[in-house]
Amino acid sequence: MKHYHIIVIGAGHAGIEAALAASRMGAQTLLLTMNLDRVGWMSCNPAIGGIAKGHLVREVDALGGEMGKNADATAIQFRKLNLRKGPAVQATRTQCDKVLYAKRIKQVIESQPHLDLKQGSIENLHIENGKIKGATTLIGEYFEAPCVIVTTGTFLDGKIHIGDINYPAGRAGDQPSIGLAKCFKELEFQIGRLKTGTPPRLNAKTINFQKLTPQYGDEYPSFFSFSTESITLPQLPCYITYTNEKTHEIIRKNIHLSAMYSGNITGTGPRYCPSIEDKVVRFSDKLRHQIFLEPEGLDTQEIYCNGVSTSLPVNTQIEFIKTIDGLENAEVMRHGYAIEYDFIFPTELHETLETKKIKGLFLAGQINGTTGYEEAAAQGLMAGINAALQIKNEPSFILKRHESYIGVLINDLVTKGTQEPYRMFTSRAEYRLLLREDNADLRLREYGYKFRLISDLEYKKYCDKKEKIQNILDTLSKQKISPTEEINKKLSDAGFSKIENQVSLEKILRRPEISFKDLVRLGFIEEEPNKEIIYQIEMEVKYKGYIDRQQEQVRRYENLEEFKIPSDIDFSTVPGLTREVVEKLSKAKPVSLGRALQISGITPGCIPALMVGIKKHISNVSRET
Amino acid sequence: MEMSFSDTIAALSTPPGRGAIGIIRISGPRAQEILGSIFVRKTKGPLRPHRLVRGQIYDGPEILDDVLVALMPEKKSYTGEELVEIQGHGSSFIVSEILDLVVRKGARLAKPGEFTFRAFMNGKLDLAQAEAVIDVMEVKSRKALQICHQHLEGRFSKKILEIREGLLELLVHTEASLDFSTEDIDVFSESRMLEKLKLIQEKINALLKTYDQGRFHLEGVRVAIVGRPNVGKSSLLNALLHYERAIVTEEAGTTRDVLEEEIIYRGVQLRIMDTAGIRQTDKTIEKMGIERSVEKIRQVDMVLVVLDVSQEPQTEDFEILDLVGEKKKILVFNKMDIGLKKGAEAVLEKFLAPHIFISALHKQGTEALLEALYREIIQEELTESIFLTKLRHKDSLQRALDFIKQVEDGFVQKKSLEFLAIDLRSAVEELEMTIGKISLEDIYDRIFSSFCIGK
Repeated sequence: MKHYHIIVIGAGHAGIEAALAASRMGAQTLLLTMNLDRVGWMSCNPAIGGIAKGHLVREVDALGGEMGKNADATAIQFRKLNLRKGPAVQATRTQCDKVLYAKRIKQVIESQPHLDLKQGSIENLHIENGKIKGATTLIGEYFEAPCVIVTTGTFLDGKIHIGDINYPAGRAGDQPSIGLAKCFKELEFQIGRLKTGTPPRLNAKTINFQKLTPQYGDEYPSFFSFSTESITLPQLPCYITYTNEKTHEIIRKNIHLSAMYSGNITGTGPRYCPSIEDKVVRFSDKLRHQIFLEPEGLDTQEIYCNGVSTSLPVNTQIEFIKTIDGLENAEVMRHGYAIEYDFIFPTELHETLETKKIKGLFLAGQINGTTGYEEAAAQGLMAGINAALQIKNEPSFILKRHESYIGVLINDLVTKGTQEPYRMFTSRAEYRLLLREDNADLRLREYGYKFRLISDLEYKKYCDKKEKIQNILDTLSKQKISPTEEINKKLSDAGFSKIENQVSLEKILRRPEISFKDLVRLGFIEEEPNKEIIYQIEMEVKYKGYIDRQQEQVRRYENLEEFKIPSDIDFSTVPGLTREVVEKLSKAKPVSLGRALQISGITPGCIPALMVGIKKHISNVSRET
Repeated sequence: MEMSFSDTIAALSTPPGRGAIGIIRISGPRAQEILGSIFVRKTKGPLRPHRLVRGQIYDGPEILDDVLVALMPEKKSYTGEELVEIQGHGSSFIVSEILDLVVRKGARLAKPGEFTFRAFMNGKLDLAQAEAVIDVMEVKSRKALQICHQHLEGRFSKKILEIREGLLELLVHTEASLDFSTEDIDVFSESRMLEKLKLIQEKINALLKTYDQGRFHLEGVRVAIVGRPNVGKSSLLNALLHYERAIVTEEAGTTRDVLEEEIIYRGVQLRIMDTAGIRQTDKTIEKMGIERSVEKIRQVDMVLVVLDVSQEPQTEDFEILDLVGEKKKILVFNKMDIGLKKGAEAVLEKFLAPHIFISALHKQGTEALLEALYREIIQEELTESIFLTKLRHKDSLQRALDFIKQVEDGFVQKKSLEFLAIDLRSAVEELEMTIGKISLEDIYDRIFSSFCIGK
């Protein structure tokens, strides 16, 4: 029997980050997967990132995770989304070569010191006195460790549905995890059932691309990783097509055959990721639905048919696909399907992602009710770091809502729970303007370095950048220009209005029509830094009003966060709280006023009453003792 | 389920003193239990909710009263708790005996407004409604009652919700276009957004305009009578009241303190204040009186500037008119019975304002004065039938309006929607300060039911 510090069950996007972070922090780690050929597999989209998800990947990278680097290295298309919108909602997305993605990440894992990668299906968790001890595989192999991180994705009692056919599976072609699901039930965790779906994959040779609109990647791509310098692989376009009335007619006619509508599925699906049958039924006035045809890789003919996730019978799938422009002769290589699986109510977790019930047992990824590779990776990384910190007896690591999307994600999960697969949106972050892709390093690099998850070289690069930004910002606020004839001539020659008083360069830059490059061009600033730095500076200066406003909100929140709520308080004795508020507080047991405010239905109006109630409670307790 | 209120309260709900009947209300978790321990019904069978049942109240073996009793179960009562109503005979002795008994059985006497407070706390009333309950008690005119009922029935809250709904719609489209820009969804165009913002602003503005009148109806209109000494201010007060309230003498500076009396004219409560005549004086008491007069001018809603039309206008008259400044006012030319000097024209030349000629002494022209006053108060034509009555509501709406203007400016300055979303959210929050609250999930519910999104 081999002893480990940490065992990670599942080698998907959560498990990988967990195992890499833990081993990089020095913990002896075992990464177990049911199938060594499926490490880091993209079960659904061959894509990483997107709005809010790209933000998560940048944060994972800033902290020293692997997803960003791996996506950059295996990307066959880079696209920055929301370019016409503001800086906070711009986001990176890549199409990746599915096979190369998995291949590269496996190599990274295999070359990682302190990390063993093994094949094995966990049947049972061993628990003694409320602590995790180890785990046994289906074939009786036993591993011992004081920390276990479970990242089972859609495998926990997974069941695939196509039409009226259903069978146990973790994903098409893979066994589900039955023993472990039973184990969680026996441990009396609160378990729910979720559902998700995937669309058919088509053979590229049978698609008439001539008829379709290609969508190419960006000419000058921006990367996920702060360490990536250039593109590695040849780049491919995606293609856009649409469903039509004929498609909808076929779907409507066969709707009763869909697993989703026949009543076989009990799990809740995500509203933002409806199946095509859902779209046709719920938005019957929409005449067409958009489809992105995404290449699954360089060396494969498989095309991912984004937009028509379905659990209709195979024959209906084949039939409706052929009604779509460009897909008249398309061959379905893999059918679409719905999958339902168990998840543990994330309210069972501490913010470290350790279960409240069992010490040393951590959960990350879809098992916590989320969806998406990026959400999984973010949780995996945090669970890995916290497990390693627990091994080292060091204080845990919790990111705040105002410093990261990761903080928003985990905080939402553990305080609010979720009723449907949880996906990140930028609108979930109340301090959205502070949490941009562009400043993920400035927000999080220090932590990554503290845990030794980023190299000295990467850290130095970050320090240089930060210093340069600070220097230039100082210059801008200190350096002033006067309304001399020469300066005003320069300004008006360049098409800008003149100045009347002496002003700082910062003030000049605050004008919407003037960019940093203009300052260089006019000779006010000598040296032109790289574009990343320019971007930061323009952000800081031009959006100062809004950023200050959000920072003020953060400060106000931090003050409430400082105001702790005693764990033994009985909210029903606090005068001035409505019954609904009392119920919500009693259920969620927030540790501070700040946390209380995050509970839905708890209004700022409750805060004064709570403050008084808490102060009274504290003085009562101290009088009694 | 946990209860916010663990104790049971009781109070006399009809006015104290002798009446035909006296009603005692008991509310709280033990209301029914307490009733059970003191009440024996005429016919057998369990008490059915919301039915009047006849029986007797016993204090031990002794009968206290023959009563009708109604039981309202938790959640379906006014307070949202178990509520019992005992209708007894209206003798103050009997009701106080019953109340005493109820308290001995475990209830405690309710504080003023506590039933309504519980109704609010248990979610039976929203904040605006609860405030209206308190207002209803103070109501002095039909119009005020009507306004209170608007609030009580939740029509005011509904109006706020309607405006909030409009803002949420914009927020939904804003957030959808930020988070789902890659999806093929139809979000509002900029011009559509601006159009909708305009509509919302109009609605808020219409509500804001009702504030003065709303407050006038509810709190009454404060009217100060000012003028130099001996122009007949106190006579005017007496004439309006139809009795000799203020002391009237020939001696200038008789009125030292501010007298306040109220009259109702066409359903509007007028709180009329007689003030000390304003002039240069060395007498300390009179001086203090004058200071108060000046202060009153600042505080009131309307000023009646009294001028003696039997004399030429004097410097002090003009000084007083300067003091009144921009305040809403009516010029009252008094003593028209003694004789008309040309003075009125000189005054009107400099201070154009509604004016009226009266003789306070002979009570001539006072009706016309009241009518003029009324017209000044209800001057503005309102497009909104729901009245704002609370400064708190007005301030919130004003702030919401400011945020909405910032959103509008943002569009003009071509700011990205994520910035505008901040102001939109702030506007929504302001509206909610008056009534209730929304959670983020609300927005997602709307996004996913309005737009087709997904892979």
